[in-house]
Amino acid sequence: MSRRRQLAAALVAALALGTAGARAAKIDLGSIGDAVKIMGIGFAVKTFGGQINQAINTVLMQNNIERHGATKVVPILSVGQGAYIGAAQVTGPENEVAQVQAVVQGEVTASGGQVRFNALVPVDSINPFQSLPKPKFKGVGITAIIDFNV
Amino acid sequence: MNRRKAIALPLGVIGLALLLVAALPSQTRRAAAQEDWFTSEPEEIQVTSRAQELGGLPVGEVLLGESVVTRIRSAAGGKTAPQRAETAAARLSGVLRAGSPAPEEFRVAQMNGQYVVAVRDELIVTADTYHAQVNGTTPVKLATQWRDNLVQAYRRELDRPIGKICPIVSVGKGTRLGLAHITGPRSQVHKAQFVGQLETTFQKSVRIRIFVPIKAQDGVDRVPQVNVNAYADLKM
Repeated sequence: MSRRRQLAAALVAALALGTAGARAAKIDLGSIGDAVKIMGIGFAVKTFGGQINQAINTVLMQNNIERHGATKVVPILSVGQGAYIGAAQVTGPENEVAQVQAVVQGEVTASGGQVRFNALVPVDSINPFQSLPKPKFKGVGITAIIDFNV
Repeated sequence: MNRRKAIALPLGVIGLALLLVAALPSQTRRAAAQEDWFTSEPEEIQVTSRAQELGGLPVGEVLLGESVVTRIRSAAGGKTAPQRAETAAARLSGVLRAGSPAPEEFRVAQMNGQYVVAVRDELIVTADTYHAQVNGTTPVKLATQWRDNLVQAYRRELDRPIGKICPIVSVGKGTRLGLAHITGPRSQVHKAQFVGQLETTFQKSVRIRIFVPIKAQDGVDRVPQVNVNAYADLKM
């Protein structure tokens, strides 16, 4: 490889690393909005899920509301859109909650969009079609719905 | 009044939508021969009786849910065996409807010199000498066996997962925001009257709606083991 080509390759690599570093640095600074914008909801939930879960449990505690079982924040997959559209906190027996990977949402609107109905099914796969129509977590329910305004 | 009607109509639509969607997965269940997730179990425990034949003789069975808890084999007091079973089922149903008794309140007692199964102080069925002989035991042991059958079936029914639809109310304000379908053990689901909604934000860009099944609109007394699995909201 010529010296000129080696230099160009090094510059491209440095640029790529620099951009990734900048992104990582920004996410490290703690903005979930940036994480959603840059990496998507799946990544944001993976990174900030624990903190969001803690925040929800704190709100419950501040309102003197007892918590029963384990909790976890997972992404919501829309059946219609086939994409992550938000996140949900699931609650239930520890062994079942540990297996939940996502919540699949089916949505129906009525009265010209005035009424919106959402059915939520916790599943053990990030591919909704692998788990439906055999939802297996009977003891797991939804405690909170998390919307990302970005 | 018009405003009330305007709100009532969409809420009715939500209810219908919830019921329709609640029915859909149970069809899937029937096809897949699995237990349904959106259960359509009734909120009240079903107590029934039925007439059967055993060795060519008419008998009456008392059922709690799907379990036979007592089998009446003889006529007495001018009633046939199936009629006696019907009476026992009506008594049991009445006791359960009057207020959910604890399983410990099902007991063996003595009334008018006979051993009976009673719930609190209400007679359910008499374990007479004839039935004891037929079952090769004593009246007290038969009454104990019937009581045990009853308690076992009752506990099973209390633990059975059921679902129901509750209004979602804003905690503290009492504003109705929509409807939610909740599921959990029957013993807990019937206690939930509302789903309280709390709102919070996380890092400004995240809006969190927390659903809490509660016993009354004016407090946040959470009902344990009960969770939301569907909700419908109204664009205000």
